[in-house]
Amino acid sequence: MTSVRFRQQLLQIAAPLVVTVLVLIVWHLAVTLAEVPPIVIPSPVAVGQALVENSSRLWSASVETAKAAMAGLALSIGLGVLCAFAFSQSSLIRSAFYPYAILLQTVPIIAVAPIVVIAVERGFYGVSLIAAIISIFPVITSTTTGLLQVDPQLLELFRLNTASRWQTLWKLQLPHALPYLISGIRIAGGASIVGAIVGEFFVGSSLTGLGVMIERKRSGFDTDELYATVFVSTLLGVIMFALVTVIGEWILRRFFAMSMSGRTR
Amino acid sequence: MGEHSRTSQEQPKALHADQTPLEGAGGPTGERSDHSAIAVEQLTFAYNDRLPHVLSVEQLGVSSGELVSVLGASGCGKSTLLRLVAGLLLPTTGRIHRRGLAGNPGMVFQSPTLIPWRSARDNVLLPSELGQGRTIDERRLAELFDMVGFAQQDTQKRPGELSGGMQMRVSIARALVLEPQLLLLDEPFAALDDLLRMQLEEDVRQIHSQRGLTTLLVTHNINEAVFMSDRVVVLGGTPSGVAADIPIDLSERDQSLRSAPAFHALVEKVTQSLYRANGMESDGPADSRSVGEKPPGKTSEEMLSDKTPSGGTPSNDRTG
Repeated sequence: MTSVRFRQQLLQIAAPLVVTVLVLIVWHLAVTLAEVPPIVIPSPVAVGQALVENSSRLWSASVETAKAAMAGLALSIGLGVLCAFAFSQSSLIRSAFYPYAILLQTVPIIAVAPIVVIAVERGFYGVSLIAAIISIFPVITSTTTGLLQVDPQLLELFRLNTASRWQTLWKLQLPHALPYLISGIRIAGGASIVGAIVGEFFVGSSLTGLGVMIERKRSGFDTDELYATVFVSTLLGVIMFALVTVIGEWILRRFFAMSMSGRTR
Repeated sequence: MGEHSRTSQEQPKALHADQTPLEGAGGPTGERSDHSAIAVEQLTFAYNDRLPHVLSVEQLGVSSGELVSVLGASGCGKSTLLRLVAGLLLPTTGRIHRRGLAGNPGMVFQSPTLIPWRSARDNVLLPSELGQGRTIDERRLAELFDMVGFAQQDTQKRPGELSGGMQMRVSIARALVLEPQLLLLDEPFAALDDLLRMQLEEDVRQIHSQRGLTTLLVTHNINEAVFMSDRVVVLGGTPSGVAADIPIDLSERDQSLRSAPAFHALVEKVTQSLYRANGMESDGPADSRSVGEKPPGKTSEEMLSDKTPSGGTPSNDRTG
């Protein structure tokens, strides 16, 4: 039984790794055999070398981008949860403001970013705000859903015992919404990295984040370093996603006997 | 519930029990008594202005210390009536008086409705944390767990770690923690297996008697209604009203009662009333049937058309 489970877990890890190795081999063979100029598509070996050679710069750029993304994410969580509270308390508020929440999701961030940077600041705060704009929608929608989808019989029980609105929110709706909120933050976390990088495209040399590096490498035709930077950016998004998932699952299991899938133990 | 349904949340004043002395209305329907703990008078209810009335109850009384079952087909408004008595819904017209029943009523729902992140103990204590808040003595809490047959060593377990029966016992304890004088039971055993259901029926009846509660039980199970109640009120018609009010004159309520001829005679009597209330004909004994089960001499199509007078979902009840 245990060995079967171990084999399944091993397969889950090994299978995507094998795919990665195969893709790298095909990529390397394709660019080498087809003699594609490295300035157009570098080989994975060249990208790996660029990754190692620029590791310290990539690290500091990642930290800077992560900081802006985290600040944006914190802002989107704070504002998003407040919006969700308001939406859950009144259908009138929901009807009046929900279309604008959707607007935040549908507006192309690449078009809004320069406007925000000009209006707010060509620096950290401008970038953080762009990260917040792109990441707030999943927080609002998922938390609102969680607050509203409470068992109606439990709501009746609270009403029967003359619970105040605050008691209902604090003791029932908010804990119930927690798995939904964490699911929202998981999506928002990845989005905030994208927002921070897009924001950095437009701030020029005032910052040294991954977005600034990508823009510099692109204009300098340092394609192998550009690929290395893009790889690190992707990795940062994955780390953010994994971090929120692990912490969120732990909180839910430890304190609320729940999981993100909504099942209770 | 419809978008425009009238709930007490919209008009909170009506939540409180009416303390005004009643002119009468109590005991069996239509009789007048000064002992009514709950008196329903000229009640009608519709979920909103566009929908037809679900309930039209001219008069219904429940005396203090009585256990009354409300029996009827699915969708006939049994649970709606219970929620009206609880103050969770407001009548469209008419009045519901609650007299001499201090405090909030205790309520047990069809499912245990426990909060998954709270332990059994914390779920039971929940009502004491709501509203103005109240401290519950540890000794009294232990007694309560004993009374509902819940093991003390399991009180720190969360609902996910408990069986369905244990969850229901926690739910009953929660309904009783503030020592209510009125207990409302909304098909609490419908989802349980027969053995467990029969045990809990006996336990709850015992708790009702020990605590001198006034209890209103909504059920579609005829055996359950007869076993537990002092009276069975049968709802029927469109909109639903009181079609029959049957006193249950049984003394002991232990499991041996289920095989007694008097019990079976009462089950048969209630069954016949139920058929009549739903415009059906019965041509044989029907004990152990649940409401909604196809009676002899009635096709399924006829049953469906009987059960969906206002476009509701056809009944799909469990057999009791």
